[in-house]
Amino acid sequence: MLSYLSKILTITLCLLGGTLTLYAQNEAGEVASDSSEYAQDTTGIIKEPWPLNKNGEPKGSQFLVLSGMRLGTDMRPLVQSMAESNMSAYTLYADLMIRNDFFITGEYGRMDRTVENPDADFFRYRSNGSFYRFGVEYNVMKRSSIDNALSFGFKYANSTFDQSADYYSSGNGYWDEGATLKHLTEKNVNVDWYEITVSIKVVLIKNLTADFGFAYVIKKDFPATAITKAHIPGWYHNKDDRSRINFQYRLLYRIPFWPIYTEPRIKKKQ
Amino acid sequence: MNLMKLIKRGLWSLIPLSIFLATPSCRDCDAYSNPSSYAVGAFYDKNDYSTVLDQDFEFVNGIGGSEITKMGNGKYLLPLKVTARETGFSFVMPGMADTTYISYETSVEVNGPDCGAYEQITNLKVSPTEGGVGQDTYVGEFGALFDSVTIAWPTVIADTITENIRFVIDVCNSEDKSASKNLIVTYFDLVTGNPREEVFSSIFVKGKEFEDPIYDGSDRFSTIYLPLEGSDSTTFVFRRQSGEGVNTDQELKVVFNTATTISDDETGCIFFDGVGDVLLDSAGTTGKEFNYPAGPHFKKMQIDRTTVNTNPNIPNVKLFI
Repeated sequence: MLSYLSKILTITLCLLGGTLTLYAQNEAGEVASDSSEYAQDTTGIIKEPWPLNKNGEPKGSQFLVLSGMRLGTDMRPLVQSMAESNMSAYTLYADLMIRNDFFITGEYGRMDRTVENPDADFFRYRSNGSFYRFGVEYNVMKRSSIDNALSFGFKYANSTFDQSADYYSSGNGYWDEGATLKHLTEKNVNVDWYEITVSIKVVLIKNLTADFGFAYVIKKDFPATAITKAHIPGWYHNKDDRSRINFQYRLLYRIPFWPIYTEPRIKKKQ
Repeated sequence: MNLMKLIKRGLWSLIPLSIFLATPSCRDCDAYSNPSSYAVGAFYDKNDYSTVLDQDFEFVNGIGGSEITKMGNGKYLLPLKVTARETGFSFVMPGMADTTYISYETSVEVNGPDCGAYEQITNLKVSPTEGGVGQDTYVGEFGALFDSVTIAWPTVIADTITENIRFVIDVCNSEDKSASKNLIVTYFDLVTGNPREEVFSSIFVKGKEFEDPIYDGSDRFSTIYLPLEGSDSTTFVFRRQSGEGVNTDQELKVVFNTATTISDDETGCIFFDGVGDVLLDSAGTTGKEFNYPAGPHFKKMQIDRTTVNTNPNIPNVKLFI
């Protein structure tokens, strides 16, 4: 628990520091007449009027204006895969931007991870499987920026995986049973959970966005298994807690469809 | 945007990721990390759950195994077979015994590279019979040593404090009730084998013939209660007096101990100071049956129940006339 709190505190401070720095840079850019920086934040915003169709009505439906689509991946499993020889994981992420208000998200990933003690033969655990999650995020910065966003979301996730373990069986001397090493495999373990997310999306360069934040994940259905579900694709390291906080850091590329309007959409002509 | 600002922005945004990855996620090895295949059993008085019942068993063992000794805290470590899914245990008190079968499952507890992965015994259940359906609690039959057996904690962990199984004994309240000291004796007809009524001039404890007799010749009975005296033996004298005033006596000597565990016939509660191991003593020889072809009253004496209790239908001694 303490390690969680320290992580949250540290990361929050960094996020705040990073965000403030970005805004400070923007402000400084305006004052210092850095025209390129200023243009970066505003060129996409079309304030007035909304483009009209041939009937003289605003383009797009009242609400479902598909402003864009973002595709990307979570860097965390990729970095971990590079750092750990016995881990191979990736995710594919996509979201649909409904105007600048809502992001409908979907993500699919795979993980194959083996944890072992290289100095002893009594421990080797492998988890191999996939997961998906989907949900919706709401952008509270919908009117202040078309590039950056602060969003809160709710998602559902489901993971199916196989796991196996080499483990130590102590036996019982009273019954003349000696200690032995055993192996056990479980197939098609299925778990699902909910996620409450908060994330900050910051454009690094045009259309390339860093999306980092937290997901408060709450177990929905974690059936009992013969092997402790120590590592779960999508949930990652699993302890006994009913919930935990996960961190994600995604790199996304935005494919724009309709222009993003930060001003309220004008009503239809009567 | 110039290149330096782009680099700065990128570096700032990478800080959270690097911090998260750099923060170790550790888990200390705890009691769950230490493998154990010993369940902890403790005994309690049904009327007082505050302390572990400190009553010595004559013998405790896994069925088919050697004796299990009591720990200093009054509890027992009950060894579970890892290669099976049920282990039976026998609990023997002087005069009574009971058995419990513990069933369980095993799971693999994965902790991490430092603490390893261990087989853990979980989902403990109890049953009074071998191969019976495991339950969280079972209630013993009337008169059994254990009033109930309950799972207190279903996972076996490596400590000697956390009780897995509670054995509850309904100990008789000494203020309300005491163990019976009355030997139940029934007369039987030697030929028919049926109970028969008899009358004696007097029945008394040997050496106390000049005190009030236990019975005198006023009534006929088939079953009589003879109060035991002493801590290990009592001799009763059955006397008939002829018309000429000649006394004809026959002795009944029984040996016993007064530290036997018995279940009260009326309530089912347990006495630890009951009278048990009742045997006949004939000229220094103890046994369950003796024949007296020349006996003046009884031709055969036979022990039917070795513990002294209250149910008159189960006599301790059968005297055949």
